[in-house]
Amino acid sequence: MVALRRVGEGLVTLFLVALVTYFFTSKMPGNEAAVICGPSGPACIRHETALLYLNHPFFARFFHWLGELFQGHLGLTLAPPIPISTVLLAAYPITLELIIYSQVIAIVVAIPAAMYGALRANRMFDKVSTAASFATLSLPNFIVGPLLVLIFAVKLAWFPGPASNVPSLWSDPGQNLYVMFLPSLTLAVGSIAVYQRLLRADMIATLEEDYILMARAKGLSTARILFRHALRPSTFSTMTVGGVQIGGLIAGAIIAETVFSLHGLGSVLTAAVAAKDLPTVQAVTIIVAVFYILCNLLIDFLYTLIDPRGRRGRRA
Amino acid sequence: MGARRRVREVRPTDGPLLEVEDLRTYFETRRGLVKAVDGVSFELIAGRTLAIVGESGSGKTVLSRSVMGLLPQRNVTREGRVRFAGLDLVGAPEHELRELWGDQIAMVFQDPVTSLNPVVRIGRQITESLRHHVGMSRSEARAAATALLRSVGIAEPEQRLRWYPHQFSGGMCQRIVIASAIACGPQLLLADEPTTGLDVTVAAQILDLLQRLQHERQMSMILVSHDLGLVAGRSDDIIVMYAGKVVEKAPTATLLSDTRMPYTEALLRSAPRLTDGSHRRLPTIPGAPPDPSDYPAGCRFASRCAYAQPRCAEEEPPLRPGAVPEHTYACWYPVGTPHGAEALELNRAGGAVG
Ligand SMILES: Nc1ncnc2c1ncn2[C@@H]1O[C@H](COP(=O)(O)OP(=O)(O)OP(=O)(O)O)[C@@H](O)[C@H]1O
Ligand code: SF4
Ligand SMILES: [Mg+2]
Repeated sequence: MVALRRVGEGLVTLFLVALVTYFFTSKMPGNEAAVICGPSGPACIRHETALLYLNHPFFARFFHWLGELFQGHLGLTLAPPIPISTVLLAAYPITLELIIYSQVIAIVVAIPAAMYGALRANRMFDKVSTAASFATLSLPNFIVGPLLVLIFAVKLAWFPGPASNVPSLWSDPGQNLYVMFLPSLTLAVGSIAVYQRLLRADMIATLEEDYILMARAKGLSTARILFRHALRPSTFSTMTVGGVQIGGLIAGAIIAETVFSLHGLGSVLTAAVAAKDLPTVQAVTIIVAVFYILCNLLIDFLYTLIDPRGRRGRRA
Repeated sequence: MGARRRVREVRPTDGPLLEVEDLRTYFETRRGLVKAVDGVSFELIAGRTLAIVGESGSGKTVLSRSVMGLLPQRNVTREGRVRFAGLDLVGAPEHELRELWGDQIAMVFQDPVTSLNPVVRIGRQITESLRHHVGMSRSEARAAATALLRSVGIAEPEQRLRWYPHQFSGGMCQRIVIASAIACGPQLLLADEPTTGLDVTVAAQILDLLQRLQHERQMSMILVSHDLGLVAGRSDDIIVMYAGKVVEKAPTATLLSDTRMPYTEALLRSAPRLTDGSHRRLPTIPGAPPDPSDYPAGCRFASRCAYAQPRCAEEEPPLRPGAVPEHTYACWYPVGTPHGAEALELNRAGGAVG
């Protein structure tokens, strides 16, 4: 029931995003048919106008476009005319990996830092990590990226810098993760700070709970108490915020791709905007929206997985 | 079968199972040094039940946790001696205490609903100490947990192991907490107001359950309560606490029949009847207990005592023996003595107190 409602809400959101995207991109300067035809003459323009429903009212045009979209016909890019789907299929793995990799880094760093900080609240480590979080929160990605390049690629030469060749994750995972580390870290820095702060605050509250004292009275080790009893009940606000900041993450990914010259969705989008390639801009926007909605559905699902009280249950 | 040897075998000793001597537990707070437990001594013979009673804030919870060593890690000082089965618990580092906690000494907390982790199945909450201390395998622990649930009176235990705490009522939760506390067969069970928030009939059932388990398993039990009437029929000995100190201590029957301390008398008078609900505040003693960070000189009960004389505010009464040597009390003008009667008469005549 609840799940169905969430999916329904997702579809409505998606529809609205499509509508808004279509509306704004159709307002971008340049007649689509004219851009496609270039110097080819009025016959071509007439033909394309009919093909693209350009002489129809806005909503007819929109639903025509949406119908095509649903059948997977994203159309062709402007120049050279290749299927947009081909371009996207080639580009999305980089962006997706960037986002997932960054979140893995963020979680791996933030959880132990938050736990240790909460366990020894207001002591040295906690103060330093909280201050570091504050500092990094105010640093935008386009500063963090070059800074990381300067330190780890140029000065220390531990990692490859921008414009490196990225082998596919499947053919050479080691090299891929190595090359993708700095771009992902760029994206992760902001998330680490957010997660560390939220998780630490919630963890401090959780550690005051009676069930933690009870776990202690059972003689369990501190590590066991933290991971088995304290971690999960402390993740709710972190997860909620995680869902909200996925949008920012996508924007951050585009910046990271630019800084590191990676060929992901971000570079496709920037190129398309520069070339006034409307169909491609629309397609990328829709893909991003789908991704955003899927992520939030996933978080809703994780929520019910972690908190049994949200599930329907019997009572004794 | 893989049951690992317990790290610390605790053998029954000849003397008392638990000896507490001049235990002090102070908290450093912004308000000053809170002397929650201020020099408490008692003994607990194996297999017996000791009740600790006193008003809210008298230090019962801190005392029971301090006996176990289960205190906050910072801003606490704990002094005195606690000997449990021949082991010294006050000097011991936490990792050594942890081997006893949940295994030899277990605790049941005040609020059953908040003492269970809401996101962990109850099965795991019961089995974890068995797996940790006794080294049982998953299936052994499961079988043991099923038997435990059955023994605390939960039907269909096998299925219930997979349930979460919110699926049970408060009384059921307390049964589960008790099951998890006694899982490893502790020698000492500390129950800190185990029936708060439960309605009267359920509270009585829980206390009966504790009593039955204690007999079956030959455990020693410390039963904390603010309700003298509630523990009267369920304890061998009673300690009355006031402002961090023991003010009277006796076998239960003696304490009830031969009350010496005016505070105990007041508690007895204000004991709620069974029909009043289980966690009714005790409003009938006028006044409030003193600030634990700033105790007055002399007897700490003086400002509220119907027997109080000038001497009470100057000199602190020591614990002294009553008619039987197991009975001790701290009072200059004890109830039921000519001295006390005279003091009460003087106050009545002077119209000072009640
Ligand atoms: N962690 C702590 N830090 C500072 N003061 C504390 C702490 N724990 C308890 N105290 C203080 O110690 C005193 C005794 O508290 P305690 O909880 O032992 O009383 P109690 O007899 O159990 O009362 P109740 O019937 O309300 O449970 C109180 O004044 C309380 O404020
Ligand atoms: S008579 Fe004096 S010593 Fe005894 S309880 Fe009252 S105030 Fe304390
Ligand atoms: Mg208490």
